[in-house]
Amino acid sequence: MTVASAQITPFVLSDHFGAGSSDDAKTIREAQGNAFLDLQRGRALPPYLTLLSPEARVAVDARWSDVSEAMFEFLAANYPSELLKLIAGDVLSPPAMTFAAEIAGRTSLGHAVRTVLLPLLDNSSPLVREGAIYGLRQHADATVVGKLRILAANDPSPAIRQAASDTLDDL
Amino acid sequence: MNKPLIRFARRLSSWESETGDDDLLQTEFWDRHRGQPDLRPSVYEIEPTDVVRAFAEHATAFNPPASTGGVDLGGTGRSMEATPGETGFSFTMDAHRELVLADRNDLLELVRHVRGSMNARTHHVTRVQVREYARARLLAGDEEWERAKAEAGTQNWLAKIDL
Repeated sequence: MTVASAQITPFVLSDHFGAGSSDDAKTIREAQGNAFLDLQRGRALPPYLTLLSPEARVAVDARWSDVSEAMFEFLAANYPSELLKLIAGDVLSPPAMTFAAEIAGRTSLGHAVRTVLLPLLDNSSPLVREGAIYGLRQHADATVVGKLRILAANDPSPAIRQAASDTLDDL
Repeated sequence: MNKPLIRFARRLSSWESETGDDDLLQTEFWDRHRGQPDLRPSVYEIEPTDVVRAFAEHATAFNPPASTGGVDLGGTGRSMEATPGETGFSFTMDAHRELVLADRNDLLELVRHVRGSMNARTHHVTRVQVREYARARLLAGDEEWERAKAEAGTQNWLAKIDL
Protein backbone atom coordinates (compact mmCIF):
# COMPACT_ATOMS: atom_id res chain seq x y z
CA MET A 1 0.00 0.00 0.00
CA THR A 2 2.91 2.34 0.52
CA VAL A 3 4.46 1.18 -2.72
CA ALA A 4 4.12 3.94 -5.26
CA SER A 5 3.22 2.67 -8.68
CA ALA A 6 4.28 4.72 -11.68
CA GLN A 7 2.31 2.56 -14.01
CA ILE A 8 0.76 3.88 -17.13
CA THR A 9 -1.73 1.43 -18.55
CA PRO A 10 -2.87 2.44 -22.04
CA PHE A 11 -5.59 -0.16 -22.16
CA VAL A 12 -7.47 -2.27 -19.67
CA LEU A 13 -8.27 -5.92 -20.02
CA SER A 14 -11.94 -6.72 -19.86
CA ASP A 15 -13.45 -9.10 -17.35
CA HIS A 16 -13.62 -11.58 -20.21
CA PHE A 17 -9.85 -11.54 -20.60
CA GLY A 18 -8.65 -15.10 -20.77
CA ALA A 19 -12.11 -16.51 -21.38
CA GLY A 20 -12.60 -19.18 -24.00
CA SER A 21 -10.55 -22.18 -24.96
CA SER A 22 -10.53 -21.93 -28.76
CA ASP A 23 -7.26 -21.47 -30.64
CA ASP A 24 -8.27 -17.91 -31.50
CA ALA A 25 -8.98 -17.08 -27.86
CA LYS A 26 -5.60 -18.49 -26.86
CA THR A 27 -3.85 -16.48 -29.56
CA ILE A 28 -5.58 -13.26 -28.48
CA ARG A 29 -4.80 -13.99 -24.85
CA GLU A 30 -1.14 -14.56 -25.61
CA ALA A 31 -0.93 -11.41 -27.68
CA GLN A 32 -2.56 -9.32 -24.96
CA GLY A 33 -0.34 -10.84 -22.32
CA ASN A 34 2.79 -10.22 -24.34
CA ALA A 35 1.75 -6.63 -25.00
CA PHE A 36 1.38 -6.08 -21.26
CA LEU A 37 4.71 -7.71 -20.53
CA ASP A 38 6.39 -5.53 -23.16
CA LEU A 39 4.96 -2.45 -21.47
CA GLN A 40 6.10 -3.68 -18.08
CA ARG A 41 9.63 -4.22 -19.40
CA GLY A 42 9.70 -0.55 -20.37
CA ARG A 43 9.02 0.82 -16.90
CA ALA A 44 10.16 0.35 -13.33
CA LEU A 45 7.85 -2.18 -11.73
CA PRO A 46 6.82 -1.90 -8.11
CA PRO A 47 8.55 -4.67 -6.12
CA TYR A 48 5.37 -6.67 -5.52
CA LEU A 49 4.83 -7.14 -9.25
CA THR A 50 8.33 -8.44 -9.86
CA LEU A 51 7.64 -11.36 -7.53
CA LEU A 52 4.69 -12.65 -9.53
CA SER A 53 4.77 -15.05 -12.45
CA PRO A 54 4.27 -13.41 -15.87
CA GLU A 55 0.70 -14.67 -16.08
CA ALA A 56 -0.28 -13.45 -12.61
CA ARG A 57 1.59 -10.19 -13.18
CA VAL A 58 -0.40 -9.45 -16.31
CA ALA A 59 -3.67 -10.30 -14.60
CA VAL A 60 -2.90 -8.15 -11.55
CA ASP A 61 -1.34 -5.22 -13.39
CA ALA A 62 -4.33 -4.98 -15.70
CA ARG A 63 -6.71 -4.60 -12.80
CA TRP A 64 -4.95 -2.70 -9.99
CA SER A 65 -2.47 0.16 -9.87
CA ASP A 66 -1.50 -0.58 -6.28
CA VAL A 67 -1.86 -3.41 -3.79
CA SER A 68 -5.29 -3.80 -2.23
CA GLU A 69 -7.37 -6.39 -0.40
CA ALA A 70 -9.33 -7.00 -3.57
CA MET A 71 -6.06 -7.86 -5.33
CA PHE A 72 -5.13 -10.34 -2.59
CA GLU A 73 -8.57 -11.94 -2.87
CA PHE A 74 -8.14 -12.24 -6.63
CA LEU A 75 -4.75 -13.90 -6.17
CA ALA A 76 -6.10 -16.23 -3.48
CA ALA A 77 -8.89 -17.36 -5.81
CA ASN A 78 -6.88 -17.59 -9.02
CA TYR A 79 -3.17 -17.79 -8.18
CA PRO A 80 -2.94 -18.91 -4.52
CA SER A 81 0.73 -19.85 -4.73
CA GLU A 82 1.52 -16.40 -6.11
CA LEU A 83 -0.14 -14.76 -3.09
CA LEU A 84 2.09 -16.83 -0.82
CA LYS A 85 5.14 -15.78 -2.87
CA LEU A 86 4.10 -12.17 -2.42
CA ILE A 87 3.87 -12.61 1.35
CA ALA A 88 7.13 -14.50 1.61
CA GLY A 89 8.85 -11.86 -0.52
CA ASP A 90 8.57 -9.39 2.36
CA VAL A 91 7.76 -6.42 0.12
CA LEU A 92 4.40 -5.56 1.64
CA SER A 93 3.84 -2.90 4.29
CA PRO A 94 2.36 -4.11 7.61
CA PRO A 95 -1.18 -2.91 6.72
CA ALA A 96 -1.01 -4.78 3.42
CA MET A 97 0.62 -7.82 4.99
CA THR A 98 -2.01 -8.17 7.71
CA PHE A 99 -4.78 -8.57 5.13
CA ALA A 100 -2.69 -10.60 2.69
CA ALA A 101 -1.93 -13.08 5.48
CA GLU A 102 -5.55 -13.40 6.54
CA ILE A 103 -6.72 -13.84 2.95
CA ALA A 104 -4.02 -16.44 2.26
CA GLY A 105 -5.64 -18.47 5.02
CA ARG A 106 -8.73 -18.88 2.84
CA THR A 107 -6.80 -20.98 0.35
CA SER A 108 -6.60 -24.74 0.65
CA LEU A 109 -2.79 -24.84 0.59
CA GLY A 110 -2.50 -25.83 4.24
CA HIS A 111 1.17 -26.83 4.39
CA ALA A 112 2.31 -23.89 2.26
CA VAL A 113 0.16 -21.47 4.25
CA ARG A 114 1.73 -22.68 7.50
CA THR A 115 5.24 -22.49 6.01
CA VAL A 116 4.75 -18.85 4.99
CA LEU A 117 2.62 -17.56 7.87
CA LEU A 118 4.23 -19.21 10.89
CA PRO A 119 7.35 -16.98 10.72
CA LEU A 120 5.08 -13.94 10.63
CA LEU A 121 3.92 -14.73 14.16
CA ASP A 122 7.34 -13.40 15.23
CA ASN A 123 7.14 -10.26 13.09
CA SER A 124 7.92 -7.02 14.91
CA SER A 125 4.62 -5.45 13.77
CA PRO A 126 1.55 -6.47 15.79
CA LEU A 127 -0.55 -5.85 12.69
CA VAL A 128 1.37 -8.55 10.85
CA ARG A 129 1.22 -10.96 13.78
CA GLU A 130 -2.54 -10.46 14.04
CA GLY A 131 -3.09 -11.07 10.33
CA ALA A 132 -0.99 -14.24 10.51
CA ILE A 133 -3.06 -15.49 13.46
CA TYR A 134 -6.27 -15.06 11.47
CA GLY A 135 -4.69 -16.63 8.39
CA LEU A 136 -3.60 -19.70 10.32
CA ARG A 137 -6.88 -20.37 12.07
CA GLN A 138 -8.15 -22.67 9.31
CA HIS A 139 -4.80 -24.46 9.05
CA ALA A 140 -3.85 -25.03 12.65
CA ASP A 141 -1.73 -28.07 13.38
CA ALA A 142 0.13 -28.87 16.60
CA THR A 143 2.92 -26.42 15.78
CA VAL A 144 0.47 -23.59 15.15
CA VAL A 145 -1.47 -24.36 18.32
CA GLY A 146 1.73 -24.38 20.35
CA LYS A 147 2.78 -21.04 18.94
CA LEU A 148 -0.67 -19.52 19.54
CA ARG A 149 -0.52 -20.61 23.17
CA ILE A 150 2.80 -18.82 23.56
CA LEU A 151 1.39 -15.66 21.99
CA ALA A 152 -1.78 -15.82 24.09
CA ALA A 153 0.30 -15.97 27.25
CA ASN A 154 3.33 -13.83 26.49
CA ASP A 155 2.92 -11.45 23.57
CA PRO A 156 3.65 -7.85 24.63
CA SER A 157 0.56 -6.62 22.77
CA PRO A 158 -2.79 -7.09 24.57
CA ALA A 159 -4.43 -7.21 21.13
CA ILE A 160 -2.30 -10.13 20.04
CA ARG A 161 -2.90 -12.00 23.28
CA GLN A 162 -6.64 -11.55 22.74
CA ALA A 163 -6.52 -12.56 19.05
CA ALA A 164 -4.48 -15.67 19.84
CA SER A 165 -6.76 -16.59 22.72
CA ASP A 166 -9.90 -16.10 20.57
CA THR A 167 -8.43 -18.28 17.85
CA LEU A 168 -7.52 -21.06 20.25
CA ASP A 169 -11.06 -20.99 21.62
CA ASP A 170 -12.44 -21.41 18.10
CA LEU A 171 -10.28 -24.41 17.19
CA MET B 1 -25.52 15.29 24.21
CA ASN B 2 -24.61 13.66 20.92
CA LYS B 3 -24.41 9.90 20.67
CA PRO B 4 -21.01 8.31 20.05
CA LEU B 5 -20.07 7.55 16.43
CA ILE B 6 -18.70 4.04 16.72
CA ARG B 7 -16.36 2.52 14.17
CA PHE B 8 -15.43 -1.11 14.75
CA ALA B 9 -11.74 -1.90 14.36
CA ARG B 10 -10.69 -4.42 11.74
CA ARG B 11 -7.60 -5.24 13.75
CA LEU B 12 -7.37 -5.20 17.52
CA SER B 13 -3.79 -3.97 17.26
CA SER B 14 -4.53 -1.01 14.96
CA TRP B 15 -5.22 1.51 17.69
CA GLU B 16 -2.43 0.36 20.01
CA SER B 17 0.37 2.85 20.55
CA GLU B 18 2.90 0.60 18.78
CA THR B 19 1.04 1.08 15.50
CA GLY B 20 1.92 4.34 13.75
CA ASP B 21 -0.68 6.75 12.42
CA ASP B 22 -0.03 5.89 8.77
CA ASP B 23 -0.28 2.16 9.41
CA LEU B 24 -3.49 2.68 11.39
CA LEU B 25 -4.93 4.73 8.56
CA GLN B 26 -4.05 2.09 5.97
CA THR B 27 -5.51 -0.69 8.09
CA GLU B 28 -8.72 0.91 9.31
CA PHE B 29 -9.55 3.62 6.78
CA TRP B 30 -8.52 2.17 3.44
CA ASP B 31 -10.66 1.41 0.43
CA ARG B 32 -10.33 -2.34 0.03
CA HIS B 33 -10.82 -2.22 -3.72
CA ARG B 34 -8.73 0.76 -4.78
CA GLY B 35 -5.97 0.72 -2.19
CA GLN B 36 -6.64 4.39 -1.40
CA PRO B 37 -7.88 6.31 1.68
CA ASP B 38 -11.57 5.90 2.46
CA LEU B 39 -12.78 9.47 2.83
CA ARG B 40 -16.30 8.41 3.84
CA PRO B 41 -15.67 5.97 6.68
CA SER B 42 -18.74 4.21 8.08
CA VAL B 43 -19.76 4.60 11.71
CA TYR B 44 -22.78 3.71 13.82
CA GLU B 45 -24.45 6.52 15.78
CA ILE B 46 -25.45 4.59 18.90
CA GLU B 47 -25.52 4.73 22.68
CA PRO B 48 -22.58 3.06 24.48
CA THR B 49 -25.02 0.50 25.87
CA ASP B 50 -25.80 -0.66 22.32
CA VAL B 51 -22.22 -1.36 21.25
CA VAL B 52 -22.45 -5.14 21.74
CA ARG B 53 -25.74 -5.26 19.84
CA ALA B 54 -24.34 -3.19 16.99
CA PHE B 55 -21.17 -5.25 16.70
CA ALA B 56 -23.08 -8.53 16.85
CA GLU B 57 -25.23 -7.38 13.92
CA HIS B 58 -22.21 -5.95 12.09
CA ALA B 59 -20.31 -9.21 12.68
CA THR B 60 -22.83 -11.43 10.94
CA ALA B 61 -20.75 -10.66 7.84
CA PHE B 62 -17.61 -12.18 9.38
CA ASN B 63 -16.73 -15.76 10.14
CA PRO B 64 -15.90 -16.16 12.93
CA PRO B 65 -16.24 -12.75 14.60
CA ALA B 66 -13.13 -11.73 16.52
CA SER B 67 -13.10 -9.52 19.57
CA THR B 68 -12.91 -5.89 18.59
CA GLY B 69 -12.70 -2.33 19.77
CA GLY B 70 -15.47 0.07 18.93
CA VAL B 71 -13.86 3.50 18.70
CA ASP B 72 -15.91 6.68 19.05
CA LEU B 73 -15.00 9.04 16.19
CA GLY B 74 -17.47 11.70 17.37
CA GLY B 75 -16.73 15.22 18.58
CA THR B 76 -14.11 15.92 15.95
CA GLY B 77 -16.05 18.54 14.02
CA ARG B 78 -16.47 16.49 10.86
CA SER B 79 -19.78 16.46 9.07
CA MET B 80 -21.62 13.20 8.49
CA GLU B 81 -24.41 11.85 6.37
CA ALA B 82 -27.00 9.21 7.18
CA THR B 83 -26.66 6.40 4.66
CA PRO B 84 -28.33 2.99 4.73
CA GLY B 85 -26.27 0.25 6.35
CA GLU B 86 -25.91 -3.22 4.88
CA THR B 87 -26.23 -5.47 7.91
CA GLY B 88 -29.83 -6.54 7.24
CA PHE B 89 -30.79 -5.51 10.78
CA SER B 90 -33.04 -2.46 11.10
CA PHE B 91 -31.20 -1.11 14.15
CA THR B 92 -27.75 -0.88 12.58
CA MET B 93 -29.10 0.01 9.14
CA ASP B 94 -30.86 3.01 10.68
CA ALA B 95 -27.85 3.96 12.80
CA HIS B 96 -25.38 3.83 9.90
CA ARG B 97 -23.59 7.09 9.04
CA GLU B 98 -20.65 8.15 6.91
CA LEU B 99 -18.16 10.77 8.02
CA VAL B 100 -17.29 13.18 5.24
CA LEU B 101 -13.57 13.92 5.01
CA ALA B 102 -11.76 16.28 2.67
CA ASP B 103 -8.60 14.37 1.86
CA ARG B 104 -5.93 12.08 3.29
CA ASN B 105 -4.55 14.83 5.54
CA ASP B 106 -8.00 15.44 6.98
CA LEU B 107 -8.27 11.71 7.69
CA LEU B 108 -4.85 11.69 9.32
CA GLU B 109 -5.83 14.66 11.52
CA LEU B 110 -8.99 12.81 12.55
CA VAL B 111 -6.96 9.77 13.53
CA ARG B 112 -4.54 11.86 15.58
CA HIS B 113 -7.39 13.72 17.28
CA VAL B 114 -9.06 10.46 18.27
CA ARG B 115 -5.81 8.90 19.48
CA GLY B 116 -5.44 11.77 21.92
CA SER B 117 -8.27 10.41 24.04
CA MET B 118 -8.40 6.71 23.25
CA ASN B 119 -9.34 5.43 26.71
CA ALA B 120 -12.51 7.50 26.80
CA ARG B 121 -13.41 6.57 23.24
CA THR B 122 -12.83 2.81 23.20
CA HIS B 123 -15.57 0.27 23.82
CA HIS B 124 -14.25 -3.31 23.88
CA VAL B 125 -16.45 -6.12 22.64
CA THR B 126 -15.40 -9.75 23.05
CA ARG B 127 -16.31 -12.60 20.78
CA VAL B 128 -18.00 -14.26 23.77
CA GLN B 129 -20.29 -11.24 24.21
CA VAL B 130 -21.15 -11.36 20.51
CA ARG B 131 -22.07 -15.04 20.58
CA GLU B 132 -24.05 -14.69 23.80
CA TYR B 133 -25.99 -11.78 22.37
CA ALA B 134 -26.75 -13.66 19.14
CA ARG B 135 -27.81 -16.75 21.08
CA ALA B 136 -30.12 -14.69 23.31
CA ARG B 137 -31.80 -13.09 20.29
CA LEU B 138 -32.29 -16.48 18.64
CA LEU B 139 -33.75 -17.93 21.84
CA ALA B 140 -36.11 -14.95 22.00
CA GLY B 141 -37.32 -15.73 18.49
CA ASP B 142 -36.02 -12.47 17.01
CA GLU B 143 -37.07 -12.63 13.34
CA GLU B 144 -34.07 -10.68 12.06
CA TRP B 145 -31.66 -13.03 13.79
CA GLU B 146 -33.56 -16.09 12.68
CA ARG B 147 -33.38 -14.85 9.09
CA ALA B 148 -29.66 -14.12 9.42
CA LYS B 149 -29.04 -17.63 10.73
CA ALA B 150 -31.12 -19.20 7.97
CA GLU B 151 -29.14 -17.29 5.34
CA ALA B 152 -25.74 -18.10 6.85
CA GLY B 153 -23.73 -20.96 5.38
CA THR B 154 -23.35 -24.15 7.37
CA GLN B 155 -19.79 -23.21 8.32
CA ASN B 156 -20.80 -19.77 9.55
CA TRP B 157 -20.53 -19.07 13.29
CA LEU B 158 -24.25 -18.27 13.46
CA ALA B 159 -25.17 -21.67 12.10
CA LYS B 160 -23.05 -23.30 14.80
CA ILE B 161 -24.76 -21.63 17.76
CA ASP B 162 -26.41 -24.27 19.95
CA LEU B 163 -29.83 -23.29 21.26
